[in-house]
Amino acid sequence: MAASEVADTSTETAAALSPEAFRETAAAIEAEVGKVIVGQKEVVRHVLIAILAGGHALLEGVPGLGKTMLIRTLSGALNLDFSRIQVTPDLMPADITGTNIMEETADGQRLFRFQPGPLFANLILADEINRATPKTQSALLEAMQEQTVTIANETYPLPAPFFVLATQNPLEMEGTYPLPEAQLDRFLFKIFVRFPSAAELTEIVGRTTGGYLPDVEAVADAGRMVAMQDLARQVPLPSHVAEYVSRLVVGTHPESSPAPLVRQYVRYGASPRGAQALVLGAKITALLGGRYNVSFEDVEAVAPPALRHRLILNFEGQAEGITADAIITDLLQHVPREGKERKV
Amino acid sequence: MTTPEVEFATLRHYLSRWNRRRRLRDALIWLPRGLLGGLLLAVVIAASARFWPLLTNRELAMVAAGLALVGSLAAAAVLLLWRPSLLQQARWADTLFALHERTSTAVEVAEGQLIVPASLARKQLADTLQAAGKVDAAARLPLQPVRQDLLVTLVALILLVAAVLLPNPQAQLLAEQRALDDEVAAQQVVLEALSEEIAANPALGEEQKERLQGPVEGALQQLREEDLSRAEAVAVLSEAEAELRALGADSGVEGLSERLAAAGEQLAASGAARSVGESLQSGNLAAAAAAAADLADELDALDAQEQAALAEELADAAEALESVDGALSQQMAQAAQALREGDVAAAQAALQETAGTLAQRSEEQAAGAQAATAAAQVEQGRQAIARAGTGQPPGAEAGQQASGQQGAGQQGAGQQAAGGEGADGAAGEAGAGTGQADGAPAGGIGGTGGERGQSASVYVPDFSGLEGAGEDVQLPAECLADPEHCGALLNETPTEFGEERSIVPYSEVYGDYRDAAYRALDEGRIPLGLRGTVRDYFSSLEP
Repeated sequence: MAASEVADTSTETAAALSPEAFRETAAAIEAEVGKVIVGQKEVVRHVLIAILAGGHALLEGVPGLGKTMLIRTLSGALNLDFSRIQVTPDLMPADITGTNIMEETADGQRLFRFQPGPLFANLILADEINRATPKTQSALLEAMQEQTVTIANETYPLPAPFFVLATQNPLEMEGTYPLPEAQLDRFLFKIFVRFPSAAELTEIVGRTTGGYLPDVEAVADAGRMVAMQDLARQVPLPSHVAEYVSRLVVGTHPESSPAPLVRQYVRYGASPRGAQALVLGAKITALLGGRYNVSFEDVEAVAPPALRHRLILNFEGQAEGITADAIITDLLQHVPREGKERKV
Repeated sequence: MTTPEVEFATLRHYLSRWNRRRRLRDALIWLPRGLLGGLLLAVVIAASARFWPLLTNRELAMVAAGLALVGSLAAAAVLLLWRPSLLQQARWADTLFALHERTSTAVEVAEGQLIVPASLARKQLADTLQAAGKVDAAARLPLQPVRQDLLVTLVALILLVAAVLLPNPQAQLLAEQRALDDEVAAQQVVLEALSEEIAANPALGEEQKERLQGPVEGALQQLREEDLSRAEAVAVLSEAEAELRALGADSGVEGLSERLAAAGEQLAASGAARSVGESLQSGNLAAAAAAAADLADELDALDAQEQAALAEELADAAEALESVDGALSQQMAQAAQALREGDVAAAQAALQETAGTLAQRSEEQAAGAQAATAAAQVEQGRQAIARAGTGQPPGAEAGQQASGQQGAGQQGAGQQAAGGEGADGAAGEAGAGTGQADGAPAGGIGGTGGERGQSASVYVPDFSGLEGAGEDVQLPAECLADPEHCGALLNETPTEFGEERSIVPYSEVYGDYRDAAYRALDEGRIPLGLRGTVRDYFSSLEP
């Protein structure tokens, strides 16, 4: 899609956007990101789903895997305002939300003027969010939830669409402030960025050490993103698939789970936000897959990123090194789909 | 019809077509499985029938056919009655044809369960139809039964045919069991009739009826219990028979008619008491009682000479009855004394008492007769149950009974010896010898028993389960030839009494042993199945 076409989509609505256009746009975004990011297709797909669902994503991976590059590339492909916040322990809430500064007018009057912080952008990269103090984390996460910032009793709306893509390093735990469960719950997805394969690493080295840097074209804009979000919510969800989602979320709670690993290793299960994340993610997965309805497979495809940060392991689970993904796999195996009961 | 309606009608057509094919496929799978279920159940029954007496081979064939039919009909009924809704059909199609919930979503949208923008609904329906058009229903729903099911069905059929055609080792036992059940049922009818007969007997008082019905009703009740073994059934009837015989003996009138007949000779000589005497001689105690009452009434009409003659006859009769019936003798003596003293009123009163006593004896005689009849019927029933299904002819035991010298003791001892010794010829002789030795003194008893029907009624329980129990003792050949000079085994320390013989008569010690045995019976220390054996054993030894 040419960049000139992007301007025409600023007033696009869901009614005007066809599922085919949705799919084409998403494919174009992935293609543009793929120019820069080698491999990591699942990560790109999950980040895109989170953005199209209007949610935020938490990326976890060791340094140097291209998390920042991924998000920077996405912002370029989406033609969105992009802000990067490198989080440090001395970062204050006002540093990210903005503050009132004294300004002297031409006639000598002194007035407070609001100076927006880096949060006032469409796409925010909060790098190493777990290094922020709880106070700063709280300010950021409140903005994520409300999509507004309040300074001195004045509320400022954040631009739409508004996405926060936060990263955290799972290895360096010294001097960090792990996100509380309630704040983790506000991320639609938690996405693991895994180490590339040898072939991918070779490709990365080739691309990043040469003299040529690929240009990323903007294939969408804010208006197209909002229209895509609206269309995604209209995808029909069959009743038995909705019931399956409910059974999955209820099954994450140890007192009512059919999954042995959940009963043994989970202290608290997912909240209703988990079900919302599953359904929204499944709807977008269906559209991306060329269908106009949600299937069981769509739900199962997004279950790991939607649920892994919502499962709180007990001491036994942490001591034995049980991963949330292993528990989710067990959950998917033990929660029956409707229609699986009768062999056909 | 609008375009979406036409498209949805097309989807319905797809679903309907798939559902028909599915029902056909299910019929091909589940009808044989229903048949197989019935056959497998029949195989289990057939296997059980080889270990327990349950069914004959013919019955097994019928049961197998019935179960197979029931299984097939049940499967057919389920298939016919199960009518899935359109949404159920759609969900099933989604699962089977990997349609990713397309058809179920389309049905829910069409039925208004999901609110979707019209444009998206149309696209969804079109996408569904496109996916449905690619479905190869014939490949996913092949119309053929499951080969494994057919193989298992074939194996089950072969097993059943073999079970029906091969002889059943339980057949004889089953026949015996059924014959026993039939005989027990028949004896229940006999006992019911006997109880009614006792109740309808006008010669018996209420108390006597109640006493006689007690054993009969008790036996009837026990025979009605389920799973009664042959030994238990025989024991029940044996116990009832013994109680009835005891009741007959307790009446004390056994042989009374015969003994009164002697006294009747004294009275039959004169004119006045002739009718009394003749009735006594004929053993008709009721008629004798009536004649005695008439005589008392007519006493006034006799002159002094006739009264004196009557007094002498009554005195002679009283003397004759003294050892037979003390009360009757005393009453006759009082009447004779009153006549001698010319006290006609006292003589009339004594004669009325005599009439009353005779009437009472008459009732007791009837009760005794009834008890004997009942005991005889119960005994016949017991013998019938003991014989039921064994192939033993009804006269077999009677024949043994008729052999006289070979009484019950011989029969029992002979069987026990044979069981303990095995097939060795010498041992067989030893068994026979023991039988003869034990049977000889019981010869007289056998005669008595035969007279009372006791010797033939001894029931020998089946000790087949005890075969091999105990330690086998091999006797050297010289022991058999010359026991007195046998080896160490028989060369035990001789009894200290040496050649002394018992100085206590058998008849005096018998009662102690019998009483001890009956106490053990009453206290329930003897198993139910062996009670009849113990009782019969002591009955047969009765001196």
